Amino acid sequence: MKVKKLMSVVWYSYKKKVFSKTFIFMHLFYFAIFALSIGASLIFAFSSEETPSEPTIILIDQTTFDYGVYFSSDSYIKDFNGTLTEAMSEVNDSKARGVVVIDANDEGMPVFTIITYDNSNTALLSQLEIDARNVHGIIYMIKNGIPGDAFVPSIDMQVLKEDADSVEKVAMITGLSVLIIMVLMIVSFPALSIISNDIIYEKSDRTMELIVSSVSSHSIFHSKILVGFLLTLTELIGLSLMVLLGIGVVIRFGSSVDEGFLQLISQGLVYLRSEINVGLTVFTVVGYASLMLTLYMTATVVFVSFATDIETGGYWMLIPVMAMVILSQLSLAVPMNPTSALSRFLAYFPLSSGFVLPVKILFDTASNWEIAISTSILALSIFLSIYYGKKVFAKNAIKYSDRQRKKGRLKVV
Amino acid sequence: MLSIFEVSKSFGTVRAVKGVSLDIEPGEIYGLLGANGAGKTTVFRMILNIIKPDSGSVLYNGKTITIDESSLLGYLPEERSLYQREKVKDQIVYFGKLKGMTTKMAEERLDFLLDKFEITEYKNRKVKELSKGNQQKVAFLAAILHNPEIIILDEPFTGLDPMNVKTFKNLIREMAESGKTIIFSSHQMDVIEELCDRLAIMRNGTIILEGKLQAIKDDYKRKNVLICGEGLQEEDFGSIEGVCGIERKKDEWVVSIRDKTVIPSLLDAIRTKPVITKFVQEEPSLDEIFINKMGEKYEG
Repeated sequence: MKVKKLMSVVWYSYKKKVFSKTFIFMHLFYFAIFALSIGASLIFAFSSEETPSEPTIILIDQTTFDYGVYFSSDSYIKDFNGTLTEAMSEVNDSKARGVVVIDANDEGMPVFTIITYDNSNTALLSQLEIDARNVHGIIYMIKNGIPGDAFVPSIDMQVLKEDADSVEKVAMITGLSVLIIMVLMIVSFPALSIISNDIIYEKSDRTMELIVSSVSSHSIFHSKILVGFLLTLTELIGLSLMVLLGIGVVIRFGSSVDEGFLQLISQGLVYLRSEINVGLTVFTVVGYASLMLTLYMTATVVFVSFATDIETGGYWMLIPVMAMVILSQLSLAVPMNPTSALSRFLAYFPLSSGFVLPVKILFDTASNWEIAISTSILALSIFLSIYYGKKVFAKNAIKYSDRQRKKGRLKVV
Repeated sequence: MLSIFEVSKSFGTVRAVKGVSLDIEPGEIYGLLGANGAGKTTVFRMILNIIKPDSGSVLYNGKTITIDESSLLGYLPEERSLYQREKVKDQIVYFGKLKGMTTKMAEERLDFLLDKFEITEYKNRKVKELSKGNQQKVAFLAAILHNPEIIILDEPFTGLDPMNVKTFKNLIREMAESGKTIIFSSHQMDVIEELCDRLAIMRNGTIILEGKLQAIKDDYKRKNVLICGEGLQEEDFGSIEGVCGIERKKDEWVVSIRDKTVIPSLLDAIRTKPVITKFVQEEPSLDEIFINKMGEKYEG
């Protein structure tokens, strides 16, 4: 009987939301939200670069021209007078992340060899490349004392770790990670908003009172979380369908690029399958995302239960929703540098670990301990939030007065 | 029989209900009166299992009503608890399913009740499109859809026009005659007088008066005497000991007396008047009893 009633509540809440004009109309804004999120993520990605206290790159300038001065950031460059072997030894001792060797070719032109510990710090590598190209501009002006032909400096990449990922793979994983985080946010955000509204309106219409007289408040609490998951799943299916629709439109109307486009997709998929374990990735993403979403849903249901009317409901709803927006944006910095302090913090923090851990696992930068601790924190947070959350919800579900103090609302905790 | 035994409930430092006890028989219409904030809704919510009493118990036929037996209870909350943006049919069927009905059963019963309430045309309309009276009918319908044994109606007549009040009264009587236990609260004393077999008045979380309506009136010592005649003045009664109030209504004087012992003094006072056409001792109205019991704190 309990399950039957629970499913009635879930189905009614789900049905009335999904088949509403608002829900359908809202999805037209998907792409705008997507574009905005990517913009914000880029800002975070550039601004969240780690500034280490110790130099992370050892610079060995073997030319007489002193190209090393053109590397922009003193904070991560350390001039080194020793040999390459000594430099590599220092890198291996983890005192540095990589080496840039500047040498000259037969014509006296500089050759840059960026020797990295691994390729995962994409932000740092990009900066090194930009610096190397800046040097190129100056050489162009002074070649043989007179302006010379356009010159492309030789930038060679070497990886110290034998099993380090290739640059292509890192680029692919970076893109995939950003996509995973963005999709998770896009599909979860509306679900949080919808279950919030559901509770707020049930409280303002006083229908909550009628439901609570038939179904236990604990069941209602669980039903709201279930509805949230169903909505997220619907969002995911909807988004996938739209992507397929987009591809279909390109194939149908872009006849001149048909073959190339399909080839590109097929090559991309083959490459993806060969470079990463798709099954493990999907399992990791779905697993952690589900756990993290449970936490967000629980937080949303609890916070919104404090609402006394539509206006206050809007304020309470903002707390979990904004937390998700901010943390998902911060998480977008993780693929740029999965080993940074920020990445480590976000991997442990239960409200962001669902975004970050799959990324770190993809980059192979999460140790077993890190995974175990992070998962334990997440699981414990879920347990505690559900255990206390349903009590707080039961206490506040039919409270319509603002007279209660915060202390009173959480007294049960 | 519904038995409420010594139930108490506090919210923080506020003691909303203090040791309330009531016994209500099947087929009885029971009125629970009280000013706003007296604790009536809290008592209802405890019967409904929405909140748990801090102490005491609520039993039906000697057993506690669990949430799984919620189909025994029908509830019309004070506010019209309906999804404003949803269709009547969808939500009533949903509420029916929460009470254990199948979709088919709920739909059939809904059709029957819509017809009885004469609002069949609103079946597929959104609640917000209905008038207040019709919304109240829909909410009432939701409360009785599953044919519950105990029906709790919190201010059921609020916002209803006289025609709808009459319809509701007839329905309540009909349900009581079929053996349902009906408890309701209202600020409309005339309706309470007309419908209730027994009633209780609550103040500050406690029951200050309880029993059969006639017995309450009989026990209420303060009486009104209606006097009509020529040459009557306010001073004729004002000085009599035991007179609590004098009011003139058209040609009639309404003299409120402490108790029956004051009547001989009143008769003495009018003996010298040339013509007395009326001297009647009147039962106090429930309204009067209620206001008196509530004192000056009454806000309703």
